[in-house]
Amino acid sequence: MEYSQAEILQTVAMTEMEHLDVRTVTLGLSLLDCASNSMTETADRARQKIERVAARLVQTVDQIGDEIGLRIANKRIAVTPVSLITEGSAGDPIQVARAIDEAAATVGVDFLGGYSALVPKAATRSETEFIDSIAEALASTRRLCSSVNVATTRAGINMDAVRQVGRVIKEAAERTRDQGGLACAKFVCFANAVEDNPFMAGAFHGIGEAEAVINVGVSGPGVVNNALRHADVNLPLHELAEIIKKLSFKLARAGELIGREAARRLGLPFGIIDLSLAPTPVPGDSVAEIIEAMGFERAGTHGTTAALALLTDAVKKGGAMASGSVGGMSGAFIPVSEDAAMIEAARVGALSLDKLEAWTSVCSVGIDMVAVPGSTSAETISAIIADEMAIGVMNNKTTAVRIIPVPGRGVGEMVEFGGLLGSAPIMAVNAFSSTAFIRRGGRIPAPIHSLRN
Amino acid sequence: MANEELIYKITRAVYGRLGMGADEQTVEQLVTEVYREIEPYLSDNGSSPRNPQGPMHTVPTDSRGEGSSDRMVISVFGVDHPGIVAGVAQILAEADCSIVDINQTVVQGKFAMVIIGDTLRARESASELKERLRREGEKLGVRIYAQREDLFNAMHRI
Repeated sequence: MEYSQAEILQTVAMTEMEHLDVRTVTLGLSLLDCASNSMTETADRARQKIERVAARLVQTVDQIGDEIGLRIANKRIAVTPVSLITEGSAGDPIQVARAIDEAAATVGVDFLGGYSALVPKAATRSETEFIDSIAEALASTRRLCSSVNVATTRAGINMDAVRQVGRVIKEAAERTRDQGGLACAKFVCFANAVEDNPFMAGAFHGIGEAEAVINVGVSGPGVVNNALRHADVNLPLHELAEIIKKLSFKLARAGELIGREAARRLGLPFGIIDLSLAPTPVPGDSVAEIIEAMGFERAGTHGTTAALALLTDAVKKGGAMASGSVGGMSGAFIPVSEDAAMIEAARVGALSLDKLEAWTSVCSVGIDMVAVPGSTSAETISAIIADEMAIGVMNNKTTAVRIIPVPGRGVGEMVEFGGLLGSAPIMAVNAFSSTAFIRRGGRIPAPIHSLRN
Repeated sequence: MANEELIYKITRAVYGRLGMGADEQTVEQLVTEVYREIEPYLSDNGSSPRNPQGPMHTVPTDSRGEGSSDRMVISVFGVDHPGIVAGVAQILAEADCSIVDINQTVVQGKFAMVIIGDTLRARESASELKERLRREGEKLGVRIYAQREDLFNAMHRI
């Protein structure tokens, strides 16, 4: 046989038992040519362009997954940050939000990202109004995802935008009160946002990108988890890293195969493959369980930042060797509500918001899908964002916050978002105020990048 | 470039004669020697000498070494009982898929089989074939998975 039985068994075990899948095939689509001086016209053009270019996306990708024998969990679309195409249009940008949400439903994708603004240094008047429209846009659509880039290493942190985003998150939660603040699960605040990220809710099609492109997000925490659980308990850590690296290579190769085939059949260029380990609520398909398998009673205890650093780095090394097109986030995601073992760790008190923040200094991407009490103030949310942005800016990496202040709920209660978004235990925030700091506004200057300590 | 298909055939013949327990190094040595002997007689492009069976359908090998998207790896696992090989082979025959390679073992009552099938001339689409295999698996009480060969090539070959 051209392949040994062990090789064939390994692949079958990965795809059938360890939940290996391609997490998303995301069509990146430029809407720059849809801009017009009327909002209605802009919305119509955007809708038509999405419906035209993405018409065959879902069907084609499903067919490829079926043939190759590797499940492709999600089909998604990322568009040009909408604030860029509505800048010169007279009218309410909500019109565009609704139009592209409808287009997403028509072509059958589950999420469409890019109701976004890039304001790391400062915002135009139109961008400020646009950011104010995000809460209503998310509350009145189903598939739309939104993001705001409020900081970069080159520009520093736009604290006016951080303050505004805190208010937007509170308003979005309030507008979807009866769904546990669901709208906040579709909004991400970024430092150093990447332009080719295929993962939601933060995906958008950057202005440095082609007209249309196919990007792929591979996953497979279940595969890594299973391998580490079967490894000798006395195996030294550098050998664990070696196991992860080799698996990551295989995952990346499988993902690239799917991406290239999808691009070929859709007649579009292939962009990048994002190697992030993204958990799902399915038991075993968990980043927290990988950490625990390295030798911890619970994810979140002392030493787990080091474990996560090892994991993230090994994943990147294996993937970079496997493919010349690695991009996006490429690390390990730690969305609390989407990872069964992380939910449990938070529930028993092993994992706190502070530890999550520490983790994000060594992995992508940030405080992700964390539910906090509904009584948390907009300023405290802005302050949580500011901390996270600072980690990204100072360390030259992407960081993000996706946080849900669940209206009417308190610490220890659970909130259910359903589906891939999972359910989250409400975690405690620091009870002391940061209000005066946030109200100052202004900008935290870009960091000096010599004298590094 | 060495003719991988031919080397593979020679290796299989050597194992056939010496048994699967043969020492790996010995086998490798024998295969290398045999290949060196016949190499001068191969045609210029390095492909096999004239096909002794005449112009029958030959399996297309991908020169880029990326595995073939026209081949399917069919893996079958379950509790052993008579008729599993026949059942799966029957479906492939009906679909006009030739079997390129087949490997089957039973260990302590557990049945495992891997078939590499050529779907180039298949009458059915990959999805239809997979669905038929799945239903046959249910009937036979075994799990049948069908995946394209290039997936294995991507994951296990550099």
